[in-house]
Amino acid sequence: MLSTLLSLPKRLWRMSALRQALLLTALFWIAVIGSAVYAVFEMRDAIDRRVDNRLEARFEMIRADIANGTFDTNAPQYVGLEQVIYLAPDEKDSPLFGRRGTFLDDDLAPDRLFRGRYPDEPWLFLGGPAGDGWLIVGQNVGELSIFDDVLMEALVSIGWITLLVALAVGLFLGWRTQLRLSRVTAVLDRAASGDLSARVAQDQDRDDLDQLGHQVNDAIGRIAAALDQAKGFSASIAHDLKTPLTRLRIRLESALMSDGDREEEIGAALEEVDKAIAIFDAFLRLSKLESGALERRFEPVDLAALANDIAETYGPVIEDSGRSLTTDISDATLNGDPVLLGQFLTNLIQNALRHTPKGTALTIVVRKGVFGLADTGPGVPEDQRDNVVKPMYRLDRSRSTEGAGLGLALARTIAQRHKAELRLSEPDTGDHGLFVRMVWPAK
Amino acid sequence: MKLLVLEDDKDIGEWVRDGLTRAGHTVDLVTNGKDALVAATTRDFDVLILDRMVPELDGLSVLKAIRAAQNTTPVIFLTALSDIDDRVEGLQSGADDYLSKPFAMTELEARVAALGRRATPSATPEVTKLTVGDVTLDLLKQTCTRRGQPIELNGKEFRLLEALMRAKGRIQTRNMLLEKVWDMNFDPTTSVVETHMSRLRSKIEKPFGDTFIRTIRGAGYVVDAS
Repeated sequence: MLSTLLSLPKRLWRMSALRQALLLTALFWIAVIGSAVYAVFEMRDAIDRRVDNRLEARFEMIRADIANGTFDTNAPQYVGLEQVIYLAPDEKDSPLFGRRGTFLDDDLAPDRLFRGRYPDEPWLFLGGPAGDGWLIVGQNVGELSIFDDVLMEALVSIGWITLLVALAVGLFLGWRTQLRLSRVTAVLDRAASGDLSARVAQDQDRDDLDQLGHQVNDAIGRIAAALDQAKGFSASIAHDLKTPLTRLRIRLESALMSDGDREEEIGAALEEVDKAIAIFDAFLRLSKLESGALERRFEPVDLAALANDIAETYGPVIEDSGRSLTTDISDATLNGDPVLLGQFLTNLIQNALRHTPKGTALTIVVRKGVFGLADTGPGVPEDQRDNVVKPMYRLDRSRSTEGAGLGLALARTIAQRHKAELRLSEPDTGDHGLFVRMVWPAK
Repeated sequence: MKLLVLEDDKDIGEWVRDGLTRAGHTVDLVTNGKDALVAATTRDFDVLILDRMVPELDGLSVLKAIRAAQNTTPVIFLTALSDIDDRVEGLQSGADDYLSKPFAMTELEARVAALGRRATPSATPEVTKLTVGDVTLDLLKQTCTRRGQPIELNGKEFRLLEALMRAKGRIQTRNMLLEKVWDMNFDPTTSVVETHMSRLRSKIEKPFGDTFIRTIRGAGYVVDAS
């Protein structure tokens, strides 16, 4: 408990917004007090100078009188707040002198003026040689010193008021910023401890702190999405690998138990192994593509030639599968990676072979800004189109088909690598079916 | 042939050695990059088979060092990183072929055989005609005849037959054909090779009532030399 209390100032000090507010307050206060003190001293100085000037004028006047012999040197004169003393040369030891000890022998030099002040009384003096002796003119400044008191009092009040106001405003502003910052750090803390639903409350968009909140929210959102995907991923990988591995096990078991020709069983087992490897390969390719590791030099690719080549390769395969292939190819080039673009179309064809019934007509489409494959199969419901491009996602009717459900995800990643967009829709010929293509803006 | 195998995994290394020995080769097995470099630079081999990730000195560095010493012995790279990038990097560094794990022994055997043949300085200039048995390919005119009868082949079928006939007597695996004829270095999972092979056969074998291309189950295809 005690240590918490003791550490509180330290903790407060570590809040940057609050600390800044306090520092600014202190600086502001020092500036205000400093200028006030400066003003007071200036004022005092001005008053002193005024008194001094008057004394000097008076001194000169009386000295002229002494020189003219019109001044009665015998009697010290008090006139109101003014005092005039004349000391003959032998009067240096007069009680006035000695009592105060204010005027020293040194002061009474024959060739210069001296100034002085009684230590405990509000008198200012100006003295100097006059006639044969010394003339000292004094002025009571007791009244003037009231200004000092008033100024001092004002100074103190100003100090307190500015201190309190500055502190209050500074603390308020600092505290508010600190609170907003704390909200963001609290959200980050929650996110770090695993609660990825945490979001910074956002109602306005005023300044950089709101921006920070937005960015934190965005970042957490992306992490959450990636994590979700990864979770789904591992589950699906496990599921997809289990199927070929289970069949592999069955094959090997029956090979073990059969007495005669094992060749067929072992050959089939090898095929299952190849399927599992193909799934691994697809994953590796997708993750490499997504992490950008496959960044290579792009070159202008003649899509028409590429599509014709693939049509020639896959035409017989598609025909043998009971489907048909036609092409709708016009000239188009895209700055890209020919290998990836070939893979793109190949993926779409394999996808179509897997998910459409016999008798489906496939069409390779190449036009300016469009590269893809249309089919007259069952299509994908509109509300599912966003989902089927996600890795491992499958429509219910496709659960039992082979493959890792990565075809369209790979296609989308390849499209994105080429700054193109993957689009799914009905074929634009008006047929029922699916038309998947990458679309990029014409230059 | 004399082969050097660099593989740090004991089981895989022995499996490769035994497999290649059974195929009639003499095999030296080393388990780290340093030994491989010493062996490759002090003794003569017909083909080097290098695993990529091995202790001491990785396969790629071994390959670079060997090539820097003007040694042109053919090299096959083995690696678990099956991807285009690694493939390209390996081939650029002077590897002659590339095989990603896991692979079938028949695949490795076929590739070793293909490389061994390439290395022997066969003074064959650019051939314009290929003849195996009673089949002749005219590479300039892109025509095919069997027993004097012209056979109509499309582009892919012609290149498929050409690849098999050039490698006469040696097995061509499905992957090797995919690379040579279709320029694909990934498995398209659909039966591209099988389909084109059956079309080719229907043209080159069916009318003549005998076989020309032999299927080796689980391995690939071969056109016999005789």
